[in-house]
Amino acid sequence: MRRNFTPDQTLIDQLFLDNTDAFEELYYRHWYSLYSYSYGKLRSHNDAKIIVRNVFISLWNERNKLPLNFSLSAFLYSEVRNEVVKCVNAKMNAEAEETFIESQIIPGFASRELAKAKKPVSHANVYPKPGRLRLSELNVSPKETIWEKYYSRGNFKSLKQALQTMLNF
Amino acid sequence: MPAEVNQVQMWLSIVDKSELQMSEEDKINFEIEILNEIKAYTAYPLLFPKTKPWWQKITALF
Repeated sequence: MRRNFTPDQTLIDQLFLDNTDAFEELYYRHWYSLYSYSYGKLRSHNDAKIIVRNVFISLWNERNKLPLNFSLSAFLYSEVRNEVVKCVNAKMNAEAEETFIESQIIPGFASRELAKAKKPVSHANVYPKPGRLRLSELNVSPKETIWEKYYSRGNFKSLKQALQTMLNF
Repeated sequence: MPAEVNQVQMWLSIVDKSELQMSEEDKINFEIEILNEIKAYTAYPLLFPKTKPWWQKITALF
C-alpha cells in the first residue's frame, strides 16, 4: 500500500521540476474519484477510462503553464466536466446512441440530480461554520435550470441544440 | 471564501463512489492500465527517466 502524506500543493510544485513521481502520486490519489464521476455520468467504463486518461495527459502537458494560485481540484473539476460534455456531444452526433442517451445519460443532467450538487457538502453539515453562506439561501429555483426547461418538454432536438450552443460558447 | 469555491475544493472527496462496483483487483488493474496509457501518450518515462536511489547506485558497483 502506498503511503505518501505530501500535500497536493507540494506535489504540484514538484511538477514544475518535471518530477514524474509527483505526477504519479497525484494520479494515484485522484484517478478513482474522476473515474467514478465520469462513470456516474456516462455509464460506460471505456468512456470513463478515456476521460481519466485525457485529464491527466492535459495536466502533464500544462505542468509548466500552471498559474501561481493553481487549484488542483478546480482544474480536475473543470477538465472532467468538459470531457464529459464533449463525450456526450460526440455520442449525440452518432444517431445510433440517441435512445441510450435519452434513457440513461440525460436524466443524470436533470435538475433533480443537479439539485443534489447545489446542496452544501456533507463536511459542512458535520462541521458547520458560523456565518457560512448556503446555496439554498440564494433563491435558486431548480426549475429554472436550462436542463429542466428542455428535459421537461421532452424535446431531445432542442436539448441537443442547447448543448451545442454551450460548446460553441 | 464563497460556498461555491469551497464545494469545488472539496468535490474530489465527495464524489459518490457507491455506484461503481469494482473489486480491489480490478481497481488495481484499471489503475495500472490507465497509467500505462498516459505513459504511452506523454512518453514521460523516456523523456524524464527516474534516477536510481543512492543505495542502488552503490550496490551496482559491486
